[in-house]
Amino acid sequence: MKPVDSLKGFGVGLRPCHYADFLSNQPKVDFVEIISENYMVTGGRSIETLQEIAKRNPVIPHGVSLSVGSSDQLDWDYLTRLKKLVDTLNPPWFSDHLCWSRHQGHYMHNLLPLPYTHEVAKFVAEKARIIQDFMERPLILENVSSYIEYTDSVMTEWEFLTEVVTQADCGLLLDINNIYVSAVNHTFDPMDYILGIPANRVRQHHIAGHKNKGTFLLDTHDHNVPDPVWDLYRQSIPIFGEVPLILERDDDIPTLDELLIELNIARQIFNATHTQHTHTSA
Amino acid sequence: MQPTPNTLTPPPELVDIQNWLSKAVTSGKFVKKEANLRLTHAKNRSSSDRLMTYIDDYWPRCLESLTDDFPRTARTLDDEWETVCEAYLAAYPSTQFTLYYLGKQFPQFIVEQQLSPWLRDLAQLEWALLHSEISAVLPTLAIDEHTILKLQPHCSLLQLQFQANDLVNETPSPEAPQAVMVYQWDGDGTFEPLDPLATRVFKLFEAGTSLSEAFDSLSEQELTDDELTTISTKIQSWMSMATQWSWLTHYPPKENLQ
Repeated sequence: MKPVDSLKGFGVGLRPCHYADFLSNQPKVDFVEIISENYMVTGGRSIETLQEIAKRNPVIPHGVSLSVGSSDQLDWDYLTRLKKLVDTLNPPWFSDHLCWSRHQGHYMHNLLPLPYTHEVAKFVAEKARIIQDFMERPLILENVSSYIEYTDSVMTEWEFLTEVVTQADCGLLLDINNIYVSAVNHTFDPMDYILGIPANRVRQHHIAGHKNKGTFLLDTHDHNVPDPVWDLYRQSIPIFGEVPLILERDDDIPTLDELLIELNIARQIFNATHTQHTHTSA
Repeated sequence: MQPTPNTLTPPPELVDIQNWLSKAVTSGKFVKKEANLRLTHAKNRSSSDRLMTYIDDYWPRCLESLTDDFPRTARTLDDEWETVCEAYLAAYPSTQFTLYYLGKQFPQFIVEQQLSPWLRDLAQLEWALLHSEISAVLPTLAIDEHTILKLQPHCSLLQLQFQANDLVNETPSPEAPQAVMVYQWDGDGTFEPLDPLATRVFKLFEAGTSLSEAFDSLSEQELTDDELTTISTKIQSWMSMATQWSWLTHYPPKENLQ
């Protein structure tokens, strides 16, 4: 596997429909991200393909079933399989979501938000710390899109996120689209979110599209990135600086060439904004 | 590093909210009054509407996964498919971190529901084909007569009541029992019919046995005159098949056999 000490640049989520492109060409990406669980099975074509692709591209494992916010105890079978995958890929970090998806051993196969209380933050941070120690590699947690808020919550999502990552001493995978989706659904200013989190803990970005359902936004990853999300990304650049970014697409997936054109928009926005900001600061 | 003992105590309010929400999402049932107490309203959406976003996601996601894994069973059941899936998820909620394994108990569920033998065979064969594609193919090994052998993780030995080709081609036909080995070849799931004698031998390997024990056991069984005259050729042919298609490995296997 290609060893990775640190990561820069722009990449895409690796999906099976693009395997052939990655095997026959060297697409212009700086790294790729995989859904960890899809490669935590014991064999099959996907694993063999990943091994080939990982020889040429840095690969970041991004999970959906860690369920760090679950009141269940940690699933050591899951963690052992994840560690095996992560150790094989040797990435600078691995990621999953600040959410819960499992309860009493049953999986909801969705990313459910947590009540934002100090007690829950402390509990989740402890779990994250144990996971990070076991994996012997930095964990970065992603903010999820959400459609509900609990009456039990006593703080904002970004205050909760800050409390968890600070107590756990882990990094942040800041999904710009998720901030935008939740901001519309819960009526807050997305810039309050961006300004409210510890910038020095942001290790990676996600960017994606969503679906407008009329009365709310649904995080579907089945559209191009819309302008308001690009605008938010543009506004975040002076705050977070150079952060590696993954463009996610999970449904209605275009050709890799089309996806790379969209990825190039992120590059252009970053270059233009970063340069401008550097000149202004100087 | 050894895993840390499970000593974390979750906050009671977290357990309480997760008890309630997990039931609501997986069953699709909740009391509006309770949703109003536990969840806030948005400007233009009630707490119940907001909760429905998660409920509306759960069921189609599971149904789509089962339909992808059992396409022929789904087509055969037609209008009944969704009802059967709903009953299956109620009986066997997902306990796996990936949807790849959501259908793991589905063939067993079909048996429990006493659906038709055709459906029982079809579900069994479809799961074995899928299972073969996401299971390990361990290195092909040098086999001597005393090595304890076992079927590879990607192999399933099925005893069907119908011909496997008729099942995959969805051609309803009269019962015609057939044993098949389902296995992974070049990344895809496929199968090979086995004659009764070969089935007996591979059943022994399924449980874990050596080559010499398997054939000793075979010779203790009653063989027809025809079987006796061709046994030597057959043994060579089975072992050649098993080697060519990586059906056998050492016992106990070194890899996880999920």
